[in-house]
Amino acid sequence: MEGLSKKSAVVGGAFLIVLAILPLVMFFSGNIFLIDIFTRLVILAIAGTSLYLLLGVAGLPSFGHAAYLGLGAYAVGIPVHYATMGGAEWLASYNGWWQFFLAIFVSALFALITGAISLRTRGVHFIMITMAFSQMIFYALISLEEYGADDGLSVYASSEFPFVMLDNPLHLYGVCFGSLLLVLYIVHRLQHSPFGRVLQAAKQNETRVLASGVNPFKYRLLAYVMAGVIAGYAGALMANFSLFISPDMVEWSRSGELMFMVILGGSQHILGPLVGSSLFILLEFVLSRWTIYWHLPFGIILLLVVLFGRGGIMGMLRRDSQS
Amino acid sequence: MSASTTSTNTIANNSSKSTGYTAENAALRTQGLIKSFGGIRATDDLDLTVKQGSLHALIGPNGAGKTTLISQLCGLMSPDSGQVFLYDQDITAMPPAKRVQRGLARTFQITSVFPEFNAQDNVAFAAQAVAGHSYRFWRPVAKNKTFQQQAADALARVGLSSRAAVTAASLSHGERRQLEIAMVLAAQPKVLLLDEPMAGMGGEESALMVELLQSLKTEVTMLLVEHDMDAVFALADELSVLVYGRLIATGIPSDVRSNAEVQRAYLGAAPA
Repeated sequence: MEGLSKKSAVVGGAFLIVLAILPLVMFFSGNIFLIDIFTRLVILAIAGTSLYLLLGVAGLPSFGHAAYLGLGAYAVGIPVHYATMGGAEWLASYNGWWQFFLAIFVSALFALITGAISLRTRGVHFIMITMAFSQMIFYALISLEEYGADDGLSVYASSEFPFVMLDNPLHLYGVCFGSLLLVLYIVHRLQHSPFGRVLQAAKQNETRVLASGVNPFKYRLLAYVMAGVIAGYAGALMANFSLFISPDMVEWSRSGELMFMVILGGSQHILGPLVGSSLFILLEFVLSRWTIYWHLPFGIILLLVVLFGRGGIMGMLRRDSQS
Repeated sequence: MSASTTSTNTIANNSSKSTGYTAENAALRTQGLIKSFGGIRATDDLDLTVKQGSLHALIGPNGAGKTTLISQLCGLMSPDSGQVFLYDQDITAMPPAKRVQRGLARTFQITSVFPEFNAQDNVAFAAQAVAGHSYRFWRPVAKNKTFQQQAADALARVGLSSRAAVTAASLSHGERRQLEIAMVLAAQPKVLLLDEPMAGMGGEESALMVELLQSLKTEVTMLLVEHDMDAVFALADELSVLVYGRLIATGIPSDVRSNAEVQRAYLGAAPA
């Protein structure tokens, strides 16, 4: 984590610059449709960066991270639903502050409860139990007729904030991109702080951490809650982006995709998830135009990166520049 | 071996609990410590006193229960019965992390460091770990002058200053041993448990380690588990012999060395 190669930092920085400029170019050149791709990319990068905090920094392979995207999205969708259809006065609102507060609060609560249980396990058991918890959310959403069950729920209005109109694609992109920068900065500070050091140390050698006088459990739990909150926030943005939410967002394969993005880009570099989600979106875009069976070549490419490019794209760049 | 031969051959005040040890100047003490695995008693009614300021060596054949004892002392394992005292405070039920905060640190038989951190970061973490909680989320550890200075001092102490920026995984076995000592030193312990610090070391590295431990004797009480007899006899103020979970002898090294049962059980038939 220390001594990042210049090359991977340059590549990651280049991705950020492209993301800052290209959507604006597209917008002003009239290709508004393309800005949607970038918005989705940036939201996934936020969720991926939150997963990086768990997977890369703390070594906790959560396989249920999509649950938070879903919780965040429904925290926007449900108040809008009631505000439009009537009922549940205490909850109903178009107010963005209220919706985003709900997204963060519910995510934090879910992370706190499930984390307190999941973090007592390790390895494969941790993967399975985090997946099981997210599947609980999935089946709960499927069974909620009020919110459209497995047909999903339309979000009739974007979250209302002063000055920014989230129904304007450029505003929405600006908010998402700004959020990504903020999240990257926060996670960067976290991982080099004393708190982050405990997480990193516990990933490498838990017994030594105990023997050094620190019980890592609460630190991990806190990291788990932080990652959940960031992903829940990304989910709230996602609801504003797609304006349609469904239990499909929470399905275990979505969690798998998030994990793929982090591993593809490189789980040992803070910009890895951003690079990973960019490639993910790009591959999906290119391959799905080429064939309807795009999942097959897509899967093969992922396999190759995981097998031969240990450390993902960023890891390959790092080794390259060290040799 | 029967209980009677054990007690008759015991040199020091190891014979009965009723007379017991005086708690005076005991840095670390166990009383009636028992730990069984299935039918095997790895620790069998063990009374051990490590005097304040001494280096107390613990020897015994493989499987005598030395590491099991260390694990109970540092809290990674809890005894079936009996007590552990640190400066007369009963720490039997105290979790391992708390014991370190109270000044009881350990090294491991198999070197235990953070392989991805460099040497400096390894030791800085050890300094951070005993400096209160780590719920500090913003300022980088690299800019914490206290931790970095403590780390640099500890590395200098063990002679690793020139290797500070090297990843622990790239250090030699001997250097990683030194690093682990630097890590426990940065924790500024009062009592140090050393589980075979010379294991797997070459002659020269062992000699350096003996020198290092010698230099530490004035500032920290140590319990040293070691197979290297030269090192043990060079360093120990007191020596205990553990066989099948029982202490068969405790005393000054020269006395223990000439003890008949110890020679039979451990040192081999021919005295040195």
